[in-house]
Amino acid sequence: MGGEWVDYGLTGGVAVYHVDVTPHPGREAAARALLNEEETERAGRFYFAEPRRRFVLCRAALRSLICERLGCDNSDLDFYPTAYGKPIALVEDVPADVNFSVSHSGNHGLIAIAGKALVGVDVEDRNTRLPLEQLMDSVPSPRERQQLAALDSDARKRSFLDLWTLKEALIKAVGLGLRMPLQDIEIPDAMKSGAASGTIAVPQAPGIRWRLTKLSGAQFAAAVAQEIRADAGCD
Amino acid sequence: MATTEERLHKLVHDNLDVPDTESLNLNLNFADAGVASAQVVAFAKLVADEFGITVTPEDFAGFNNVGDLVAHINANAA
Repeated sequence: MGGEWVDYGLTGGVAVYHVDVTPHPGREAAARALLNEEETERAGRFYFAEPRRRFVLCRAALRSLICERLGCDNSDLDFYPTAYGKPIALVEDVPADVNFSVSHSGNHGLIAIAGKALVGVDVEDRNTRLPLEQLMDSVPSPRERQQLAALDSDARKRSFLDLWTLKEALIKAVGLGLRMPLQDIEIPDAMKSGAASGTIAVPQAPGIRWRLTKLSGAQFAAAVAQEIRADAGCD
Repeated sequence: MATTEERLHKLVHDNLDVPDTESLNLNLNFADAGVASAQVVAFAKLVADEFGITVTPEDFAGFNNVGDLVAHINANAA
């Protein structure tokens, strides 16, 4: 199913997969065959081929990976949105013991799958068409904005995309999405200085610490956020 | 004087990956249209600047469609 395993060596039982979402009619047809009626309708509501293709390929890969992990049939697997839109997996209408997150940008899709730990993933193509200068007013905290302003243009763009994917992964893991004010989140300074991972707490999820891990490379910025659990690695 | 809908139509058309025919659709849901959350964050600032109101990405997370955004603008614009 077009998915390619990427071992990022994450601790805590989180697996991350890279999905090639470049145009490929044969792979897209195979992926469509795995979608249920509701997902097929959703794919039809996209106005443009590019986001539709990313959705179809990543959703099919997610289905394959979860079925492989849980040993279930694709026809028994459904997804149900929770209060703020974060989906959970149901097998034969029963919530499954699996957490997951999906992100896609450009030709890259990433899927993170964990057991009991809440997880979020985000990816952004380095050649993004996003209006980064506008986003720099809305995403970094005031202190982070000062830190970014001290960098030259290329370094600022690179650091901003790292910052964005870290925050986006975190708000997806918490499950609140953009309801969490992005400017209130302070990414650990060590991660801005090159550390690949760090931990953070947010007031919206009291009592929980989150591990942030950068997965960034030359082609894309990416990050995973995962709930730190005492039973991590046992799931 | 352009209406809220007309000004918003131009902002949507110029800045989001939404077909021209749909940028006037008050039932348009950004997520369903495949608009990425980073685009939503940037768009929130554009709307705030265009209409001189406070509208945050957190507000956008609560809007079900463009119609909700129009209602927010009309309720908050001077």
